[in-house]
Amino acid sequence: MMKTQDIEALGRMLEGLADAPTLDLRLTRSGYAIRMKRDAAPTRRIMEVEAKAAGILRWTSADGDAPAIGAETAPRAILGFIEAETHRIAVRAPRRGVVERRLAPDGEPVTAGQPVIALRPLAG
Amino acid sequence: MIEILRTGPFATVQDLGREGFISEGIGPSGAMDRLALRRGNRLTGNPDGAAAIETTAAPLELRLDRDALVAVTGAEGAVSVNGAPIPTNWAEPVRAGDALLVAPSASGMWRYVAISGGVDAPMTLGSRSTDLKNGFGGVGAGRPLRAGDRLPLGAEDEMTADWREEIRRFDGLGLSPPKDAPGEPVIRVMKAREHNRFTEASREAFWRSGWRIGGESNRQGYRLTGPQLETETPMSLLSYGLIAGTIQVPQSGQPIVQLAEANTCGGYPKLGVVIEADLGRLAQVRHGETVRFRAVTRGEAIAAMAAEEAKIAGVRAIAEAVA
Repeated sequence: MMKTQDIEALGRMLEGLADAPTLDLRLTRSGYAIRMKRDAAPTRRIMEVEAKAAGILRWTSADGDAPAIGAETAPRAILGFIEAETHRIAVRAPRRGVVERRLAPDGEPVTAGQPVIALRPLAG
Repeated sequence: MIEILRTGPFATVQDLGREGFISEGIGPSGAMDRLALRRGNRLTGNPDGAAAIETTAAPLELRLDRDALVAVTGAEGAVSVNGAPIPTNWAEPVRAGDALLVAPSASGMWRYVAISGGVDAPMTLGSRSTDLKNGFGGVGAGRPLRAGDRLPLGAEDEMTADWREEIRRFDGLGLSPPKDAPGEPVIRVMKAREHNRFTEASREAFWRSGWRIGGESNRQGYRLTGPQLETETPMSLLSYGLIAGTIQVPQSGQPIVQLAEANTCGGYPKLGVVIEADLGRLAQVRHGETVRFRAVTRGEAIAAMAAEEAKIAGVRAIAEAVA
């Protein structure tokens, strides 16, 4: 019989291995045998960037072009703005990645903490 | 410390200028677009009169040796930190060692690079501004910046440091872009003492025509190209005191507008004086572009400046809104 502690330990181990590029894992415990095999790198988890304040969402970068879907972003790149009457803040890429999809359209009022864009992180 | 990595021949240290020495033949100098300089200082949490770098038609690249807020205001054009673009009218938190690149102005003339703490160039007669004409102030001897210059960066006071911390939480903050596209600039002017000594045809031509900013224009003043202007009779005036904005008409019949490094006295007949609220807007018109003039009263001039002051005050109000 597999114990609860064993299942928790297994869960933690799998969590730790989630980003491993390839994997061949054999595990025998308490009369069970488990084998996990992965030949290709996993797709990284999509990261959602949240609005840091409320305002009107504007999909335009610092130099005017909107970030295209599939475009690569540098860390700190400005992907859009959140405008208030007098001032605006930016939606910035937290790290290197690829724009997966926008989660809200241009001109939409957003609230603080609302996810507005999804990025697929890239290594580096 | 601010290390100048790259610059053209026209980048200088400027603040709001030196007051009180016109009678000694020393004009205020200071920023060509004072409202833009003040916006930059507000965005970076500085007092309005902190010194910044004024730059124009050549790339300016610099590096700081401590963390700071930087903002580029005035003429539009590209700005980037370590190659990543940032907007104008935007307070950007930068790290020690980051490279700030300010491209040549794409539209407009003068760009201001404000840095939290301010450029701590030596004070000369109460100002850090560079006086190119008289050859003093700024980084010394009134000269423009050169690649390799190292300028002292002022210490941030408590208010400035608090503001930087606030901006860092938002990862940068800027002014919302203006809603309307600017048309051909109309510059407001108060009539000067000799206005009515010009012929009726000249007066009408002055107020009706578009005036092109001539090539021989600099921080001292802009030459305007357009119809010939003349007084009813040739005039020879006693020398009078001059301030920025004064529109004089020499014998050539083509007006000159005195600007930041205005002469301190002159003798040509004066048609008018550009109001304080529009001095920066005129300074931002590029050589070869055209402006028009519109007559306003003293009351309108005061109201126009009050409106500009309210806009500047709005930049500080943002600090309270986001805090």
